[in-house]
Amino acid sequence: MTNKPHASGRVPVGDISQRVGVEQLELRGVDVAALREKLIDAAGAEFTTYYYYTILRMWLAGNEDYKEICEDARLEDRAHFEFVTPRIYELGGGIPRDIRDFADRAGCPDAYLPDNPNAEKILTVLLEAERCAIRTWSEVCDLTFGKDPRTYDIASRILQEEVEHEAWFIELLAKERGEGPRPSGHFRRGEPGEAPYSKNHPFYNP
Amino acid sequence: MRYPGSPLMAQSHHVVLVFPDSREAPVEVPEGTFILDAAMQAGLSLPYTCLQGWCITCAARVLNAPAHECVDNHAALRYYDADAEAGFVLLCTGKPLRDCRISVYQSAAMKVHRRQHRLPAPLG
Repeated sequence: MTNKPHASGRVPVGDISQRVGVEQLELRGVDVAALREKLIDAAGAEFTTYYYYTILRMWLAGNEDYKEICEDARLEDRAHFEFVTPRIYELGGGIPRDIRDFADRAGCPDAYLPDNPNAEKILTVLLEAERCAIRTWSEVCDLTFGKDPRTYDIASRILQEEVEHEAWFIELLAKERGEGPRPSGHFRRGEPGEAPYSKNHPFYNP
Repeated sequence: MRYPGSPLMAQSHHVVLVFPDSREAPVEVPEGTFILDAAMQAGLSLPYTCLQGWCITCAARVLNAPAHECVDNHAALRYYDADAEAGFVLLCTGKPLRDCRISVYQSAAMKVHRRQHRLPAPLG
């Protein structure tokens, strides 16, 4: 008989059909199945946004400053997909086998290239995409705060960057609309897609 | 006070939001205003995420008439004829066309409906 209270628990010794990492969340009141589904929706949104931002960035041709900032947001959204996806698997889930199913269940709208695209219209699409992401990751933070520190850490790091992205696009839209300056308060990233919050972990995250 | 035939009458619609606990909240929705915006202006707390008519977090169901007669959801980025036929509307991008009663917090039901019709929707 051990006197170490954490040396054993509900999951039997050697059982690989259950995860203590999930059990502990459930004991703290997390609906893990629901959280997992929400994370898949959120990962789908990051992935589709990365795809659509590729097109939007192309169409910012001639606005090289906007293009670079769009590129930062694009690569950081990809980093968010990379960052959250392992967590989905840790929680016993996975992303859909068919990419069409993945795109269909994305929690945020497809960031389509607008009709008759110009810088203002494209920046508006980018801004609203970031806003949806902010609402999404804020919700994940709410669901996990104080109960699931690992998912909370991932969500809050992604949220940090989404908030910065929104500030960038507000700044650029204000300039484009001639509404006077609305500074984001930020300077450029060091490298494109630096993702200072979501890629500064020591584990592999390309 | 609203008088029949007054300009105010033409400029707003009387929407009653019915909550899962049967509580009812009347909201005056000015012409051209999204129902969710008017409800929030009135101090009501309702669920939403994308605000673009996509994620169906704000899904609701019209109780007193066919959905397409009560709510204009053309501003939604993803809304299907089958949704309207089943009575579902999206408050974030829905403008009332007439006075109506709407059951809120219908996201789970709308997800089931979308799955049954093989239509896309977030699952979380």
